[in-house]
Amino acid sequence: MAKRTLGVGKQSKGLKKLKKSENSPTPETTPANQITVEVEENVDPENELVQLKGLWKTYFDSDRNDEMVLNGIVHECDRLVRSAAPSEAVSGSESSETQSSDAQLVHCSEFHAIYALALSELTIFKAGDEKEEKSVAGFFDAAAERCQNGLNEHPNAPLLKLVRAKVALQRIPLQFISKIQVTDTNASQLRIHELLEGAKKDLQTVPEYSELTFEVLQSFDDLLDIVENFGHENEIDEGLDSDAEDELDEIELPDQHPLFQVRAEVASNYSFLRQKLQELFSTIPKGTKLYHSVAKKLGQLHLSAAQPSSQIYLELTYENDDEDVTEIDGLSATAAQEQALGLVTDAVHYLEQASTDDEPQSWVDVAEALTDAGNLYAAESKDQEECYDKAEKLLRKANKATHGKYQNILDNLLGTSEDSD
Amino acid sequence: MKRESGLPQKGSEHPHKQPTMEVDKVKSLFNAKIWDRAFQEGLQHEIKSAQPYNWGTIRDLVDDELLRNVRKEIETEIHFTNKETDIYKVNQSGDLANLSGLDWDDLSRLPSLCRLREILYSEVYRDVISYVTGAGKLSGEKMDMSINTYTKGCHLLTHDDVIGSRRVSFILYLPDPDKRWKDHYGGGLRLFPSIVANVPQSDHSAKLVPQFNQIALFQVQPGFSFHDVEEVHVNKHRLSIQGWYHIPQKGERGFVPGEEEEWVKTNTSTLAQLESNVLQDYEFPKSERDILPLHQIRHVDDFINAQSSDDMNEGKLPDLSLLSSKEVSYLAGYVSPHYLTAEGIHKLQSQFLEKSQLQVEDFLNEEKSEILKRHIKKDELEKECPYESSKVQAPWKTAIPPHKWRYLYIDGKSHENFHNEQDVLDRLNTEETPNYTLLSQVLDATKNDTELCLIEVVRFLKSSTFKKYLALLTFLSPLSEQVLIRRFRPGKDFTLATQVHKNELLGQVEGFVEAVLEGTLCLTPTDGWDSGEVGGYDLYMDNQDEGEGLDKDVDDAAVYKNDDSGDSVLINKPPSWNSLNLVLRDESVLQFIKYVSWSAKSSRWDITAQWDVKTVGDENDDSDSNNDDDDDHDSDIGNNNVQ
Repeated sequence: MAKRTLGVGKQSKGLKKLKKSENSPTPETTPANQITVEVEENVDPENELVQLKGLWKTYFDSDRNDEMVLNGIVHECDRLVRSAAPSEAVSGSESSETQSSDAQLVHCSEFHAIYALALSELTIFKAGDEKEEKSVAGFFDAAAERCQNGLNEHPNAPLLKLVRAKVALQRIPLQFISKIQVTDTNASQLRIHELLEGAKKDLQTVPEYSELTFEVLQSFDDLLDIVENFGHENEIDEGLDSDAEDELDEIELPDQHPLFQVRAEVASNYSFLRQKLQELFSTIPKGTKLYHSVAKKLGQLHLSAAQPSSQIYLELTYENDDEDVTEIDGLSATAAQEQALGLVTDAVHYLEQASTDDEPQSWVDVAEALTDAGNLYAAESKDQEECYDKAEKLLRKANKATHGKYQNILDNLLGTSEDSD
Repeated sequence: MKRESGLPQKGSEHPHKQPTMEVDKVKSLFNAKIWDRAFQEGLQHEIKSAQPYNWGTIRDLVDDELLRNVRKEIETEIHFTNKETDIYKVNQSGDLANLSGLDWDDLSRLPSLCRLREILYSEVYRDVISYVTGAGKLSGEKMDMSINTYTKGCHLLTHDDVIGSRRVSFILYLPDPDKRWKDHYGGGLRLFPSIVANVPQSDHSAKLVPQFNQIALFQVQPGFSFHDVEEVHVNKHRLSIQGWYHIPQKGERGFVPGEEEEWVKTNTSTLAQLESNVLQDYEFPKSERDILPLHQIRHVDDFINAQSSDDMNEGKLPDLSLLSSKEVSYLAGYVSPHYLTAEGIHKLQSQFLEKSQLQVEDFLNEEKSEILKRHIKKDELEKECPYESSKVQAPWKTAIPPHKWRYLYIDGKSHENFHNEQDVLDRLNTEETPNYTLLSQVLDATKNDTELCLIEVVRFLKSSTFKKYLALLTFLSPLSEQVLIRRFRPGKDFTLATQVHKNELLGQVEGFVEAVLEGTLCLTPTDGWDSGEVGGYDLYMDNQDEGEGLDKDVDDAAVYKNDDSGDSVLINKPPSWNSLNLVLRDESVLQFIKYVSWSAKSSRWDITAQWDVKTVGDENDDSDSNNDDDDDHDSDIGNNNVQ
């Protein structure tokens, strides 16, 4: 036999060190010359816009830890812009035909959108690095400019508006909030509220780009979360005792604080977000991964929306020792119950849509929402018992499927928890 | 190789000088109850009568304010880095590497911590610990402390803490002082009873749910003081200070010349014994491959000899006409069609020859894959999985002992469920060879449909036809085999790094390869494993300790240097569906299945096989593998003995 198989250890010594296998949990960044771009069927794979879209999709669907792919997109966009520019002397090797096709390409709305998205996304790799502070602002400016250029040519292009919203929603936390202190009073200078309102105007469902739409809406959700919890960043960073059980007290902000107004309007912003997500939800085919994800997000948002009125109802009904107190924040027990129950019922509905046969966590999500609903019905009523029964069945099923992972939740529901404080 | 007892040891053990507190001051910083003789007697009794071995705990040990300040200092001054090896995942303090080695200016950053350390090693307190544990005198000079914080997913698997001159282990807990640490958060200290010395039972029998300002302590007992830290299930910090009291040093009260040396020597010899006898007798499943029938070996040899690997090296395709049509259709009943074409096989051959390993994705054909997936998923979602070894039912068994591995397996032999030494001895007296055919006949198809499907695949892997196929891919002819079906349960199972040992009986066979061929068909039906966060991955690594002398300081030798982030990683394969990982593994290569996190979506399922192999054909021009155990490969330092 001419060649003999060595043991894997000896082989590695022969080859210096074998690199981690291709399935390594910590993949290395993709070498630029090894990228495989998948393009849709029935399109011309040589078409540059097709390639560009493929490249963006490669990034969009990946773990998004490869800065080089983004750089590749930006460089390619730059090259196409230069190649299309009539005023610039292009090297003689390029035919006028190529120039004309590039010129067409750089004027289409998708080109502007991809260019802006790549620029905006690059900031994620720069943020947090003090040396890159200027480049973060620069990339956002360039991304916003790309959107504007596109919108000048295509004033009603929904995709470009959506991308402009994405750039703004990414910019607010990365460029601004990351540097804001609790005591700042420079609202008029940063104009975050204005930027956010602008983004909301741009934010619309684009059914052809439902994944992107969902991502932008998630950014909006993340931003609202950041605003609500502003001032607690360090505690969360340390991770000390952060837990779903621990409610963080809202930190008070001065009225000229750049986030003051946004925070004051957080409830209506959540309502806006729910409405947009519902619009998106109605356009997504049932059973798809996105369908489940959007349903889950809607369920969660409805549950959180129900929380204030739910608390009022529970407090007035079960913890109210003072007969004179019949309302809290202008809500009577009945009104609060009605409001909360409406939202929680919707939450149950969405979470049921999000539930899949092989994800026990999705059954537990429904069970928890049902428990919330049960708590809102009159004590020991038929409705309450029905909700609790359903929740218990789901939890038992999930518990069986997950080696008792949800025992604590089940114990809480059944009132048998040793841990319940 | 002697494995560290758990975490890398960062605490200093060197004598040092520091100002000492007045005894009264020391006493005032402890809970007054511990100076009370009745309390001490009560605790001593409690420790002495504790199960599974002598251990105890004290609530509200030190001054509350002092410990709160210690916690604040740790939060603000100490940076933690996440470390992960086969035996643990933990956030370890970097700054405290040498607490006593820092100069006093640096210590000013941690004044409360220094004060705490001083009182914990004060003579008056040590005397109490010595009395209540019955461990004898304890050193005040040789301080040994480290700080760890266990966050979600962190764990430390079973070990006995025996290293060097350690006499008593303690863990002082510092979770959030204003909240009760709840059982379901995980992070409990769990203690294991032993079947015999050095062989702990699979399951713990005592557990401490740690609270702020609570200390757990036990005498370090070689072969008995086995414990682990349960994985933390929630996003909270279970902060703790781990420390040890050592045998008194020269010049200290209680110093006995030669005592430490004798202790260390005894432990070393205990380990040697562990390697050679006890663990090997008491480990299940045994790493033993049964020698194949001669006729099977001959058929495979003939088949391979008829193929010319020279042809393969010259780019020629394998000759599949040497397989009968029945054999081809039998293979097609299991293997994906594209791995059964001459081109497909040729590609796999080249890859294996180049890398000595091969990852074959979608190995089983679609039909078999779908049936198996449906069954395994159904089992995962609808059947209760036993988490205590006593509840494990046939045909499954629990791999023991837990300082080497824990998982469920089917080995094709009669059922066994060991509770005591006699059970093990009885089994050793009546050894069997595996018979999956017989096993499949006695299983109830309505209850064990998944197991029957898996056994069918095992029978395929054990068939002569598959061995021909395997030989075709690898140009290695199997001489012996062991095939196991395994299930690694979330929050429970793992294997620690071990080496393979060649079958001594086969050493003289012509063409015998000084390596073991290993094939693992992973059948894990869920996703979410690729990041490595939830463990379960199959990791092969070079043994970096190879060739190092054995005359090192005991503590250094105990430190298990390889972790899964270094250059030594050869293969790191996360659980997946229907992928076959074939590796020709030299004896120097360590391998382990990382502990499967509680938050993993399902168990890791696989079928794993090992074969001793020989080369066939014209081998005379080769010098790499036939009984040529290179001098850099004969150190016996990679076995799995955890002390």
